Amino acid sequence: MAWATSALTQLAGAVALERRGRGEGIEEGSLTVDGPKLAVQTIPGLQSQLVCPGDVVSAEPGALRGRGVVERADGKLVATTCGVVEHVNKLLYVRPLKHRYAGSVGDVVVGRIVEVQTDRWAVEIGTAQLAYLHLGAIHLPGNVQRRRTDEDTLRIREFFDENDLISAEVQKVQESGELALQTRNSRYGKLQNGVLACVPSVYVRRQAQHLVNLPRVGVMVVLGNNGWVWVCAPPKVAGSGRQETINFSQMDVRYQKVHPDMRERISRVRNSVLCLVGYGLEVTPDSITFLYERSQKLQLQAWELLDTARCESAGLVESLVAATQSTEH
Amino acid sequence: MAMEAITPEGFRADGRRVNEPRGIQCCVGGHGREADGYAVFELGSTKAVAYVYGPMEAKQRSQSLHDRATLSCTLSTATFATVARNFGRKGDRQSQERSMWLQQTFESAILLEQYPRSQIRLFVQILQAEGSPVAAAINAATLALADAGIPMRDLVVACTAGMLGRKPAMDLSREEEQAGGAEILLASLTGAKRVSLLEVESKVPEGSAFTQLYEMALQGCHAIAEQMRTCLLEHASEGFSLRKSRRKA
Repeated sequence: MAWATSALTQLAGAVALERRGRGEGIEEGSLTVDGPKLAVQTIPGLQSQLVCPGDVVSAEPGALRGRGVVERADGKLVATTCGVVEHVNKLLYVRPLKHRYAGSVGDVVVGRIVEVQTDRWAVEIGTAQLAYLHLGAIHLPGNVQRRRTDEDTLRIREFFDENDLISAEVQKVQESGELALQTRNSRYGKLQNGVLACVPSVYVRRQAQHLVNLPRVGVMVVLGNNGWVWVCAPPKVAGSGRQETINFSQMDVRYQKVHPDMRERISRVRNSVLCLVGYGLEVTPDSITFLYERSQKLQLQAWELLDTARCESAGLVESLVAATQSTEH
Repeated sequence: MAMEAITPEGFRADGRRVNEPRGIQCCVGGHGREADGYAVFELGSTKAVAYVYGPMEAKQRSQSLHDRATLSCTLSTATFATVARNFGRKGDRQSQERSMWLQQTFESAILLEQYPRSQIRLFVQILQAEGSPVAAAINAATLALADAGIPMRDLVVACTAGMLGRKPAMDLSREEEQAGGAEILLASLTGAKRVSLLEVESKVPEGSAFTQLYEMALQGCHAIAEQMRTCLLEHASEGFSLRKSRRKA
């Protein structure tokens, strides 16, 4: 059995070495925390507020438990998600780092039709359940105002068909958590002539404008609150062609051949969105424009924005850090 | 085998003491992935990777319940994970059974009633099985669920314990598992002091052996839970710091 013993001792040596190696690795990791890709500033007091599932949340008696907090069998309040504990008067809740989008009334969303039913569409918007868009809640092409008839139910696929992308607004949150959508506004409707970028919903905050024509870029973006961002050529319609006029209807926007120059700009904007999220930054018209212009100045190709190594060597990351820090002071 | 499982000085074959788990490495999250939650968990050289999708609309209508979410788990072992190349079919008995363990373990931990009519899908793959693979799989799944932001009562942490000769030892390696002593697998909600899975496949000797094994496994769970917690908090701290610095801009 000598061979077995020697094999085992050899193995033991290997494992011990490996463990020592790991230990050193961890030390190294903690040393280099100061100089990762984007200098992470430690926020004073953050560490004490962070919780994991199962951590006891300190609470004065009489605290109301909100989202992300449950009462354990022994009567203590514990967190259920990984995040930051927040107090609002007596209310105690946990703001998670990342979660699925849960709609609230008035949010602008971008979604995809997955099913056509008799008088409504089922729309995938990245929530726990599908959202529904009723025939009565859409804006008819040509801004016609009339009651929906049986004929409209038969022509339902002419308005939206499966796999169409639409922009819409959350009209109602049902008791079961199901969302009812509406597109009863000329700016909502079928999306054409562009590309989609899907990011976690926490990166798109509620802001004044969600359908924005980026100035100086000449590209339109629809920042869905559900984290789906649509980037497209500014729509042109017959007639005045202006989006602000009363004759405009998103429902009348048709497929058109987009000029290669515009396509390049569209893809650069899309990749800027993905790049921002990759560095943990929020997506706003300002931040997109900043990254777009900076990447042009640094002579980065549109596709190079998705490559972290190229972004770093071109100095894009440093300028992002500088921008966030200069505005902070 | 001629060699003792534990040396007179109290060391095991790989240089650990009996109440010492192997080195732990975890990696949580990451952008540019389609999954909602992602984690890798390493216990020594045992390695498992977990992906979580959802909560989302159930793929089949029949799978959705009106008052809570359904959880579907798939635990598979990579072909190259074990010493013998295993070309077994995808849904073989062993992985089906282990998937069931995983599902029952997490059904009691996740607050499923918060997401009615939806489905949470959990995929775990064991990439390298060098002892206690299911324990690593459960720990990886817990981290992935936490990364996806799915509410849980507590972190579910698993650890094995087994008899080496006459002594109980924590977190068995492959050689120790193959030695044929009694072994138990324990998954527990450490903070809430609850057990969600206890698997005893081999015969445990009479007397106080089971209690000893149980205590040892529980001790292991606490040690591993502490490291998993640190890893999650580090991940969260980094994420929030990035976002906060942007918010002021």
